Amino acid sequence: MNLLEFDAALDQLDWADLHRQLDSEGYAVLPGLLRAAVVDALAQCVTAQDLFAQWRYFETDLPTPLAEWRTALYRRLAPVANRWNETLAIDARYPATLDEFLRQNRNAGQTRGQSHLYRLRVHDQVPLHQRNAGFHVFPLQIVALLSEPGTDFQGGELVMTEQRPRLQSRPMVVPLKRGDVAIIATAVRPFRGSQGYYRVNLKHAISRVRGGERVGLEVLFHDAPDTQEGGR
Amino acid sequence: MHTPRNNAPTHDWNRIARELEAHGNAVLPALLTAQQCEALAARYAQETGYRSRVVMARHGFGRGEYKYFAYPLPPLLDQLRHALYRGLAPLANAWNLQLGLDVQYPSELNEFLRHCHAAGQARPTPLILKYGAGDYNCLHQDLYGEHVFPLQVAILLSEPGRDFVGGEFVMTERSSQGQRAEVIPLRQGDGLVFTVNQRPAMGPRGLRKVAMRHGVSRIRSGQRHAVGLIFHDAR
Repeated sequence: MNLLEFDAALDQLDWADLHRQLDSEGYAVLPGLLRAAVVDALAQCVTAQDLFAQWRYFETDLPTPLAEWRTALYRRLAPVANRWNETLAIDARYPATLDEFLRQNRNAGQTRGQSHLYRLRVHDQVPLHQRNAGFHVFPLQIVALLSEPGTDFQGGELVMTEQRPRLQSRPMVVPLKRGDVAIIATAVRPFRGSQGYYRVNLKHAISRVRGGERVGLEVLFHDAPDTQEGGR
Repeated sequence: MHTPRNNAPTHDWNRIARELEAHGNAVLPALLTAQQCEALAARYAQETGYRSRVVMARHGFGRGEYKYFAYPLPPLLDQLRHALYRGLAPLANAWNLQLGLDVQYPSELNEFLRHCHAAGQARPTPLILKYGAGDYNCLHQDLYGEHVFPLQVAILLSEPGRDFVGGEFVMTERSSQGQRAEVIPLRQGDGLVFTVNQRPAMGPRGLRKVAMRHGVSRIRSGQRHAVGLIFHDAR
């Protein structure tokens, strides 16, 4: 699946509806966006390594399809990101292309790639976290699943929490199957309450894997500050 | 007074203790039969037998509603509440010792409830919840006053996939080590014992205190009923 095919697949999606989902829930799922062959190739980047390797970070060496998809997805998400910032009265605006945004990142000392593949086995989990270090933070990121729930693994749900001012947090479970791509809020998003919009704070986690092996992918659009630890 | 005896299957309390120690929750498979579940869910609409009804959106608790049972509780739930308390009280006592709390729980629920009632916590806390499409329950702790029994039980009355989609039971745990989140898979009739507020957990530097909350993710379609058995009563 080259960039043209991926771009065409993205063009087929109902972006108005996806934008509505992102605005109301803070996430949207693109079912089966990644084809089986691509899923296998990506998963092998981490499963072909030594037996105990769990995480593989990509610094600037994002594998070709991933680098191109990141560019294609950025282009479609920058308008949402800008609208969110406008709603929240945050000054920052995102340029139309990922190249330009990454140049801004470099100029601000953010050069550490945060995208990564990870392999979780029974009893493994990823704690609640958010990757919002640095001046430049893109408010959306990608989480994709490269294994089949129920068949390859049990448990391992993608869980998000949404913290609202002076209220209890809302838990969310994002339903994913193999090859699905979720667009999720990185950390902060506008939430429409009865008194207008306010800022809510989101984190995400992978629930304990109860059996089998779960391979996942996270793609971040902003890079982390040089001084920041690249890992979690 | 005759103490109610449980007719539910006997539980492997050693396994339950181990899972509670490791994760702060433990599944009690098939605590109720499908028939018992459906009978309880069906009586949600009845006017009688409840002390109050709460519409969650009005309080910012989420979306959906629940009703607190009035005393006397339905016999099945009353029996379960007594029997589960009897099994859990030793675990609760061990937790309090580990956490350095000097409260110890009596071995029978009636005795514990006498303490609650004497302290002004006299209203029953067992409840039944009803969620429809789009509903959810925010992460919270069921605390109703000074007297707190540190474990409680939820029972799922509906069958996932058939009666509803989504609506996962989610717990979060916060400690000095960070925060984790967990989905606990339940089937119709399964019970879940879980931490009300805090529990002892083994960390890299010995025993520490972790705080837990529970909630329900959005129901994508269908209807989901559940029962909550809380052992302390409310002010």
